[in-house]
This record gives sequence, structure tokens and C-alpha cells, in this order.
Amino acid sequence: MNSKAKTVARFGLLVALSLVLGWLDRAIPLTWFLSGAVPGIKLGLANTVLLYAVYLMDWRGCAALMLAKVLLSGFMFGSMSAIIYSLSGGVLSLIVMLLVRKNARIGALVIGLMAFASDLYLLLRNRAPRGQMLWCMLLIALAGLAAIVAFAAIRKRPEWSVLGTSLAGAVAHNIGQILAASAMLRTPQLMFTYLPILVGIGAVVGCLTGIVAQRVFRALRVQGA
Amino acid sequence: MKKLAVLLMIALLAACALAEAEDAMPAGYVRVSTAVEAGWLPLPLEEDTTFPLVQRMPDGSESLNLIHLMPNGVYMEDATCENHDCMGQGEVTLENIPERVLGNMIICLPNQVVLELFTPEETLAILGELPVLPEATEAP
Repeated sequence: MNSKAKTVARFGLLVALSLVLGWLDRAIPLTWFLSGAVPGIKLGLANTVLLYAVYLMDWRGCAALMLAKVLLSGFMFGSMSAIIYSLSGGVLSLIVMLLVRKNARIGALVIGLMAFASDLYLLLRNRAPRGQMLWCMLLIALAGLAAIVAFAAIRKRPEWSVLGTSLAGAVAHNIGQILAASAMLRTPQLMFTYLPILVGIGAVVGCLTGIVAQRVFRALRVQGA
Repeated sequence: MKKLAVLLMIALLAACALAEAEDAMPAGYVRVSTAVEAGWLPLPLEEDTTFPLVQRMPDGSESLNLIHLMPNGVYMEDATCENHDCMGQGEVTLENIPERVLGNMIICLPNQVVLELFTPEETLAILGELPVLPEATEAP
């Protein structure tokens, strides 16, 4: 198979995979685990495909893949609003992942600090957190800790750099979506209420998908892909 | 003389009741933000009411969010969005705001609706005056 045909075949495969994983993301009701408290949370499994592309393809290929995934997934499973949110999150996430892939350590460190800053902000806003808020703040603190651990892990074993890129990409995706929602609804309060929580949850989810991606990368390398 | 005192007492009580009725104001106001506009709904004084918010979406479809207003709070009773996350967020009341992850908000991203509950004092600080209100209506 010549190289162009191989590229096209690989692109098609990645688009198909991202659509299937996108469907799976929608099918797993992650919000239930948080008692429905935070809307719009997904595992972000489809993001592992883009993560793979970031390490495998040039930026044009990654952008084409992201666009294909957002548009096809939006028309098949979502709505126009879903496309706008996904596109905004996808663009920011891709830019951040492309910037961070060479120095994923910094990505992990920044996300860890952002998670701790979010927690601090929520604590200052509500000095006696209780109920859902308390659980959420614990989750964000754990996410910050995980990001700092990832920073240390990447420093020691560079092959774990995908973890830092995944963390940064997941959080950037959430930031992009909230920016779009704030602009569309002209509700800047979303940035202060919703974003600190999504930073923490994005870090947790990004950590999980990063571990999955690292395992997949290793398996593919073993098979000579 | 005794009769006059009783009459005066009754008149005084009636005046107090009237003054109280005139002073009765909602415990809070709900700001409803959509992609097109933002409006305000008062919490009802006594009985629960519902407000059907119907919107034309960018793709031409029609969306519905049925906002349930209680004397001390609000929740999303029904919605045509695909994930119903807004309905899962439960009630926002003036009491549970500090406990909720989203504070005073209920967010429906697919239908582009954000509800925020404010006390009259907060509403006054935002608007400069208490809003003149569209009546909340019973659901059809």
C-alpha cells in the first residue's frame, strides 16, 4: 500500500473509531455518578483518538480529524448547539495538545495548579462547604494531586508524556465549551460557577483517558503500528 | 365606649393585614437567560406555578423547558433536551445554594437555557429596581 493510501485509510479508521467512542461517551451516563449535579460531563473516550493523532499526524491531519468527528458526531447524535460547544472545545483542546505534546510535564503541572486554584477559589467563595459542594471540592483536590503526580511521573519516565497531554487537552476542551456557552448565553457567571468544577473533573477524566491512551500506544508499538 | 374600642381594634387589625398584604413580595426572583434574551420570573407567593419556555433553536426545531416555580425555589420540571441533565440538577432553593455544586444555577446546555435564583436584595443590586414581571402561568 502506498503512503497516501495508507494515510487515507488510517484517517478513515480514526474517524470511525472516534464516532464509535463518541457514541459510547454519550451512552455512559457519567452525570449519574455525581447525582446529576454537574451537567455535560463525559468520559471523553473519543478524545483518546485525537490524542493518538496528535502524536501520529501533523496539525492539518489532526484538525481535519477533529472537524470530521465534531460535525459527523453532531449531526448523527446531537444538535446544532452540541456542534458549537464541541467545535469550540475541540479547537482549544487541539491547540493546547499540539503545544503541550513536546513538553507534557509543563501541561500536567499547569493543570495541577489550575485545579488547586479552582479549589481555593471555591473555598473562598464558600467558606463552609457542605453537601455536593464538599464532594466536588474533594474531587478537584484529588485531580490536582493526580496532575502533580503525573508531572513527577513524566519527569521520571518520558513515555508517560501522553498523560500530561491528555490532562491538558481534557481541561482545555471543557474551557472551550464553557467559553462558547458563556458567549452564546451572555452569562459570564458560568466562568465562575461552572468552570472551576469542570477544571477538576476534566483533570480526573483526562488522567483516566491518558492512562488508557498510554496503554494503547504501548500495545500498538508492540504490534509494530 | 367599649364598642368603639372594639371597632377601633378591628380597624387596626384590618389595616395591619392590608399593609402586610401590600408588602408581601416574592422570596426570590429567577433570571432566565437564553441565547436570545434574558428575563425575570418571580417566585410565587403561595402555590407552585410553572412557566413553559418555548424557543426556536438555530436548526429550526422548537425546544421546551418547563420551569417549575415554588415559593422558595425553582427546578426544571421537563425539557426537550437530549440528555435531561437540567432535570437531574434538582431544586435550587434559597436555603440549598451553598450546598449545590452549581450554586444558584440550573443549566440546560443543549436548549441554551440558564436559570439563576436571586434574593430580592441581589435582584435589586443587579437591576437597580425589582423587575416588572411577566406572570408565571399554569402549564397547559
